[in-house]
Parts: sequence; structure tokens; C-alpha cells
Amino acid sequence: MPEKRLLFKNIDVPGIDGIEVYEQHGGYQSLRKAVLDMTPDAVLQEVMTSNLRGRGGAGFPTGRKWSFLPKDGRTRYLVCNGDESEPGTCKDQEIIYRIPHLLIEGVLASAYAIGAEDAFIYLRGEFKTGYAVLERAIAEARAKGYVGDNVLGSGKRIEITLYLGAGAYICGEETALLESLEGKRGNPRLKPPFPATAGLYGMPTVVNNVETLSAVVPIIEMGGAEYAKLGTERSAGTKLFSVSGNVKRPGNYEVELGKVTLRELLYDIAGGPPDGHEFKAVIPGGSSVPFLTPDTFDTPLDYESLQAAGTMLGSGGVIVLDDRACIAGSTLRLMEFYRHESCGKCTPCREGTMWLNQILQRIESGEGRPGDLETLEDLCSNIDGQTFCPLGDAAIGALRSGLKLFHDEFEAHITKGGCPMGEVVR
Amino acid sequence: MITLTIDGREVQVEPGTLILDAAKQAGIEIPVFCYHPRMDPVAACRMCLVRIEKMPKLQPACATPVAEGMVVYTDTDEVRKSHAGVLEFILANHPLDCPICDKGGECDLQDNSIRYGPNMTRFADHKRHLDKARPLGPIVELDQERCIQCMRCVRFMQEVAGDPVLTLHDRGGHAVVDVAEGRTFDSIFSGNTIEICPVGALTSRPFRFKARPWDLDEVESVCPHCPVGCNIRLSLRRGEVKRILSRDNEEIDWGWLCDRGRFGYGFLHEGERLTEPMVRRGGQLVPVSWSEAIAALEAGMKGRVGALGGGRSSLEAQYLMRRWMQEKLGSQNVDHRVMPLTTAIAPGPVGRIDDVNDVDLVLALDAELIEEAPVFGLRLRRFERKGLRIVSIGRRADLLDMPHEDVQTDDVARTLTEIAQGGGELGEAFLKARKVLMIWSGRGGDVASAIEAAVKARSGETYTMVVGGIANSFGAQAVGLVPGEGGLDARGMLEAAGKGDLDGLFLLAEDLLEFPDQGMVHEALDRLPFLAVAAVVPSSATERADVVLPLAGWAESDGHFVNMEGRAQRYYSGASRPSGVYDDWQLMARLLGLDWGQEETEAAVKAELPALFEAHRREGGPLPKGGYAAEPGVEVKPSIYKKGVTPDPFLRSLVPQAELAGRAE
Repeated sequence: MPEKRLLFKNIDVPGIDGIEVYEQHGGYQSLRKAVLDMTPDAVLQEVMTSNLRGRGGAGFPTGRKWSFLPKDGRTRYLVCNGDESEPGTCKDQEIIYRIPHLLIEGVLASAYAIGAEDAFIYLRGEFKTGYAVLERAIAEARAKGYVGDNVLGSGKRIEITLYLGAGAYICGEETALLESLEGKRGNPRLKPPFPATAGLYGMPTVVNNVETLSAVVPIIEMGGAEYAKLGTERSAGTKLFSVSGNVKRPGNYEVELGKVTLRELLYDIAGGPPDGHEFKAVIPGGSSVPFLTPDTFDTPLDYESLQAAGTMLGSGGVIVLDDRACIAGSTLRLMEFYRHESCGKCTPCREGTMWLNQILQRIESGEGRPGDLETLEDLCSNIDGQTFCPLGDAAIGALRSGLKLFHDEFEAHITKGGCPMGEVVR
Repeated sequence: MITLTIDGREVQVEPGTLILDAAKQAGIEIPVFCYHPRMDPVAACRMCLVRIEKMPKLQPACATPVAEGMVVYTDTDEVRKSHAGVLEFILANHPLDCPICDKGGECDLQDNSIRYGPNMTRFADHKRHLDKARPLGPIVELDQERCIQCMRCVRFMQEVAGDPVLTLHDRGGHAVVDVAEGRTFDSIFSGNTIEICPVGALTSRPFRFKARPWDLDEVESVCPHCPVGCNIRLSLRRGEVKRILSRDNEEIDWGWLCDRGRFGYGFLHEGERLTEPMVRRGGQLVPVSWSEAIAALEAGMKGRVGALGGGRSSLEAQYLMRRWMQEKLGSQNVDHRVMPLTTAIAPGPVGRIDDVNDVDLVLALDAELIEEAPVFGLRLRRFERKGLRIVSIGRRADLLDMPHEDVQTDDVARTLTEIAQGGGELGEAFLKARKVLMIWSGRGGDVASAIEAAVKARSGETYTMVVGGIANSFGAQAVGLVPGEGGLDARGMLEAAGKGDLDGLFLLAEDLLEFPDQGMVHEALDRLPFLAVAAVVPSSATERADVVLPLAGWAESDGHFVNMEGRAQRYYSGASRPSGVYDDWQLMARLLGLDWGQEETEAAVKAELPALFEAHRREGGPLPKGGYAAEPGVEVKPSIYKKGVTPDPFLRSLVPQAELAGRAE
């Protein structure tokens, strides 16, 4: 099965980043329908029916998340998580840079559904261009009456505030994002209370990923029931996958969940391995999840099947390694990232990533010692499930599975006193 | 009540209790680093992880509240592995310089390592190297390598002291505690961070490398520096006070101290002391025996005499001084109020410090807490965060160092009267509130009358505390160190002396430097035919005196201070004293011709004023009423503490500012 484009339907239309072209291709019709013809509850109901799940990584049902907001009359906020900093993931960036009005429409319709007058789009610090694109797009939408004190003449006020973070991976974690958005150090908060009851500035808050909020637009357009027919029963709709690494055609691809296997994505859509090489391993859900090897490539790409295969769908960042790649070197590269990005709040993550990094560095440079692999595995077990937020678990996902699947390769580093792959390919 | 099971033991606790505290109640210890009972949990160090049935992961006991039927395990293989794992992680980068660490012997990291740690490390890589001696301010020096990022100090400054001067810089393994940009750690509460640091990262510059904790003797004492009466411990080595630590009292200080209390002991050993009695002969003060000095005193205190001071003295000495004046000298001229203070005991029911916990409204009348009762201010701040309404009524708008409402007025008494008459929204709130606490500087007879009327205007509970006195002003006033029938007050005595109408004056632990009109003091001392001063350290008053009687400092003596809520608290002697000094009560007993020790005097005061010893109980007898002269307000004290300036002169002397600036570079 080829791509199934919902979000990316018009992405190749020239000028779609401008509001005129976006409107000519049906843009802002979902918002019009929601605000003028539907009650907020009806919109929420459609999202519920659609079975849409969060596309940021955790896969939590979006409609349920919205329904957790307490009905106590307090001000509510919608926050769009555009921190997209998971290595290997660049799907939100594509939406923001190329079809910004889809996101803005999704944010407005979702804010309407949850009763938020103020929506915030939080972008990672590196998205300076994306910030400019969205800034211009919001101005266009405001001029057309989609944003502001009186959305489409409905009397409803919905305002969008853009915020550029300072560039920290941890700010993709929703409570750290809220801290950062409030102008504080981006450290995760103690939960409970969850953002639904005490989020931004202590008020009930929904935090959703860019792709999730964008998906609300086709859901309103086609109806929740139609959307739910896409994909599988528990993994409904389409999902963007960012394929990177050793493939012929890396890029962002939108497919129906569960209808395409990893093999089909890698070979039919992304063009297979570079000539003369074979695939060695794939991280299917962003750098935080365990490896898959070619013997499991027939796994369908949906939340449940990937979990059954011992990994996760995560953010949909498919990182592909072919037979030239050194697994120890690759896991070291990832560990360097997590060591650098650990916020330092909790002990196992702060000290663990530093220590793991040092051992991996030694192994890769030929100074591994007997016992290092056992120590690596045991240190991972002392981090697993014991950190303050999921960053610790994310840091050990690839390493742990790499140790299991490619144990001999790690071992060879120690016995041979260097990388058996020769020159390090990272 | 909630019933849960911890390690097979059934435990019943209040709803909302944290698992950690529930375990403590059941006698089960769960190790911690970042948790501190007086601050909000953060669950950052992960030392306290426990297994809870039906939960997928281990949970932090310090941040997880109990639930009915919960089953908790703190001692399974899995939990023990987690404990050892966290400790191994912390120790990986720890410098392990325990042999030269101030905290060695009383360090949570050492203690937890012994009990829960792995017995060896697998860490054979490179340790982090950071600043080993970073001065954060005049008092606190940081060893960044020892820091385990528990954030207690950062949270204390933010959450408890309300001055976020400490922050975490950088992130991950590079995260270090430091002062915020452009600041120096000049908070008057800075010393608390040293005490709550679970390791030897924050060290006290006065104490650094001075002694090993296990070589120190500990003596229970009470802080002599303000009317709050924080409970303290003296740490002594060979009879010298080396440091002061807190002694957590739920009802008074919550385990916090201000730097004045924590470091205000230098005068005992470092400065000049009075060590032997002296008598003026031929214009010079010459050392004499105690018998000669007392004979000279008795000879001089004849005719129209008076006595001033006693606010810093033991309750025992105060009681004996009143009797000495009345019984031996037949004088009613006695007054402890030599600083700007109308009364140390509030008119109307006297409040308790922990009344703050459940009042609806606090009125601060001319009260400047950061200077007068700093640690009491921390409790107010805590409840302000929880929504307690605090209104400051005073001449300036910035009297309270915490968020509050301000009513600026030149006439506190009139403003209070208007409020008590139900005027305005505040007046309505004042009359409607279930329980009100008034905090008053104690200055101005008109304010005293207004307070009395305001208490009567309300039907609900209304309490008042005077924060403007010194350590034992309450005791002094309670035992009667105020003018008797026809007697002169402090101003009256000094006026009389200035006119040549006073023959002799006795000062008990008093130098008259806080009397608002120093011109009047000079005139009085110039014309006085006879001045006797009993004191711990020399002052301009002892230089002028005809008889000087050296006293033991509070850390060298036994007795009671009565704090601003009328609570007598015992302090014990620990420091060794110069051989020639007397206890203050010892001197007064001798003057009175009594062969009494501290115990006999205490028994006598107890018999006369039992309420002072029962003040922690509401049902105790009524506290003594405060007598006050109906004179209008006196000048507000000049502020000692100014933001950005090192607290007080003695603290400033600890570390020369220039040196500090140089080292910070």
C-alpha cells in the first residue's frame, strides 16, 4: 500500500504556505464548520469518535485527554508542542515550514473544542525560520478573521501566541515545556497534578503535538467516524514517518497506521538500501526506542504491532542503519545526545547518562574492559523506570536493545581493542 | 484515617500523609536526600523509591500520598537494588574527600552509603572536577564537587525565604548550584542552607575546617537575639562555641534560624570581655575583688536611685532585680524599656506563634519582621503562600519582606480604630474573620489603646504579639521591671539624672545605645553621681561607670528567656567562662542577700508567674497584663538590614568585603 495523504494532501501545491492558496484548496473550511455549525462539545465528540491518538510519542487518546479538563469555570489553555527534538524526527517541522495554516487551523479548532481563548504554539529554539513562517501565517489568519477577538464573526475570542524555546530536548516533555513557556528553567514538574488540572500558570491545560492538532482538521472535515475507519481499530488514521539514514529516498511519508509494514515503508516507499548494501537495524520511533532487525521488518506500523515486536511507534522517526554502521558507535552517538540533554534534576538520569557515555566512549575507542558490557546492562537496569521523567528510559532504549541484539559486536570491540567496523560510521 | 500496609505492618495515618511519613510513624526508615520535612517534595534524588502493589514502576515515597488499602514494600531485593543503584550513581562523581569535609560524621551521604550503599563502586572513569571553594556570600562557601543536586538550598531560598538568590546553572551532569547572576548570597537566612545541605557542599565560612563534628559537645539553648526565642543547639569544642545549629520546634521556629542567631556568638570568645569587677578610684577603673565591688555598689546606690535594662538577662535575674529594687533599695524607679518600646506585652490576649497556622487575617502594626522577628516572618510567609491575608499598617510600605497588602499611614492608632469600627472592606473583613492575629511593634501608647479597643470590637478570637522587644523583654515586663507606683520610667530617670535629681543608677546588661534620645543619655551620664553597670562586654556605659560587674554570657550561664508569646524557655550553660564573672542571677541574688541558685530562683518565679511556664497551653492561666504609659509613638528604629548589604556589623567583620570581592573573581 502506498502513502495515504491526509495532512500532506496539498503539501506539494505551490504557494500552499500562503493563506490564499490554502483557502483555494479547502483551507479553513473545518474551522468554519466547527465554529459556525458545531458546538464545542460536538467537535470534542468527533475527535473522541475518531480514535485519534497523540502523535508526539506516547500515543494517548486525544479526545480523552481533552475530556479530563475539569468543568470548574477556570481559564483553560491549549498548548501546541512544537518542540520536535527527538533525533530522527522532522515531521512537525515539515508541517510548520510548508503548510503552516493546517497547524493554525487545527490549533484554532481544537482551542474552540476545549473552550480555550488562548492557545500557545511552543517551538524548539532551533526553529527560527519556522517561527517566522508561523508568525506571518498567523498575521494572515488574523487579517482574514480566523484569529482574534471575533473568530469568523462568531463572537468567540481565540488568540494564538508563538513562543520560541531555548533549545532543550527536555522541553518536549509537556511539564518541562510548560515551565519553559512560563519563562522558567525547563525542568519536568512533579505529577500529579497533571496539566489537565494545573498546567500553564496553574490553569487547566491541554498539551498536544503539532501533528495531532493538524489531524483535527481532516477529522472535522470527514467526520470522526470516517477517520476512525482509516488504520486499525486501535491505531486509527494516518501517521507521518520521518525516514532517515541509509535509505535511497529519506523523507517524511504519511501512511495509514497498520496498513503498511516496516519493510514496505523501507523498500517500496523509501527506496530500499543504498546500492550494494543491506539493512542492518532500524530504530522505528525516534532515538528513544529499541532497535528492530531485518527479521522483524514485516511488523505492521501501528502502536500495538510495534509494541509486540519489543519496540515503540514513538514519534515515527525511523532511523535506518545499513551494514556499514557500528552499533556501539551509534549507541554512543545517541548516548552523547542524552547525556547532553539530561536536565540534571534526578540522579539516575544525570549521573547514569554521564557514566554510560564514558564506558561507551572507551569501548568504541578500543579501551573497553572485561565486565564493561555487564556494567552497561546493570546501569541501564538502575535507570530503567526509576527516573523522574521518561528521558531516562529514552536514553537507554537503543543501548539496551543493541546490547541484546548485537552483543557479539560490542564484545568484539573489547576483545579486538577497537571498532571492528574500521572507520567509525555514525 | 487511612489504613495501609508497609512491609507487612498495618499502619493508620491521616489522609494526605506521604508514604515516607507513614513509614516513619511505623518505625520504618526510608532513605532520602532531597526530601525535607519543611519543604514541598520534589522527588528528584530518587533515593526513596519503594514498591507499591498495582503500580507499574517504583514510586518516590517522599511524594506519594497514602491511599486506603495500599500495600508498600521498602525492603525487597528490587528496592534494595534501587537504593544501591542511586547511591552508586551519586558516589560516582562524588569527590570522597570525607577526611577533610566539615560534614564528615554527620553526612546523609555517608550514613545512607553505610546502610544502603553498594560496598564498592564499579566507577573507574573520570570524575567531574568543579570549584572546590566558591564563596557565595559573606557566610556560605560552596564545594561544587560535593553537591548532589538535591536542590534543598535552592528550594529553601525560593520557597521558604522567598528570595531566589540561589539557582541551578547549566544542566545534566554539568548542573551546578550558584548564586543568581549579579547577586551575592546576602540573605539573612543564608545559614539555614548550610544546615539542611545533606552533604558537605555548603559550608559555613566561620566554621569551615574548625572542628570535626564528632569532637563537638552539644548543649540545648535558646537564641538571645530577638523575641522569637528560636531553639538552638550550641556546638562546643573545649568550652568554646564553634557553631550554632537549630533545634526544630514545631510551635516556634520550624528548625530555621536567621544569621544573626546562627552566627551571633562571636562576642563570647573573640571580642573584648569584662573579666573582673572594677571600681573607679582616682578617675581610673581598677580591678577589685567581688566583695569590694559589691560594697562599692551598695555604698553608691543610696538616696534617689533607679535601675534600667534587663531585657537581655535571664528571667531569674530580672525577678531578683525587681525584688532588690523594691525590697532593698525601696525604689519604684525601674524600667527595662530602654529601646523604643512602649510595652513588651500586648494589651488583650497574647497570641502564639503557631496561631499563624489557622488565622484568617493578620494585621501587622508598624512591625518590621525581617529585623524584629525574622524567623517568625518565615512562618507568616509560608501561610501567605497558602492564601493567608496579611495587611501591614505602618508609616512605610515596605515593612514586611513578603507579599502583603499595605495601608500606609502616619497614624497607626487611628487607622486601626477605623478598621475596628468596620470601616471599608478591610474593616468588614476584620470584624467578620473567625480568628485574627495582630503583630505589633510595641511602640506607641495610642496604638496600645487602639488594639485594646479593636480586640473588644470583635466577637471572634483575637490575639496580639509584640515583636519590637528583645530576647527577654516579655519576661522583664512580666516580673515587673516597669515603674511601680509613683516610679520613673526610663525617660523619666534619664531626665531626672540630667537635672541632677538622681543619685545612683544601675544598668543590668544594658548600654543605653538603643535609647532614642542619645543627647539625653549623655547629659544624664555626665551628671549622675554614681553609675554601676553589670555587663558581659565593655561599652561606653562601662567606660563611664563607677562600678563594673562582669557577667557570664548566655551560653555560659543557665536560665530562662520568655519569648514574645510569653513562653519561658530554658537555656543551659555549656561554654566555659572567664573565671571572674558571675551569672546574672547570681549577682542579683547576692545583692538581695539570698543564697539562691538558678533552681531556687526559677522555683520562686514559677510560683509567682506560673503562666509563663504554661504558655504553650492555651488553657494555662492568663498571662500578665502589660502596663504601658499612654504616651504617643516613638521613633521607628533605624533599619539594620538593608537589601544587598551584609546583615550586621559583627557579621560583616567575619569576612572583609574587599576580600570577598577579590575571591569571587
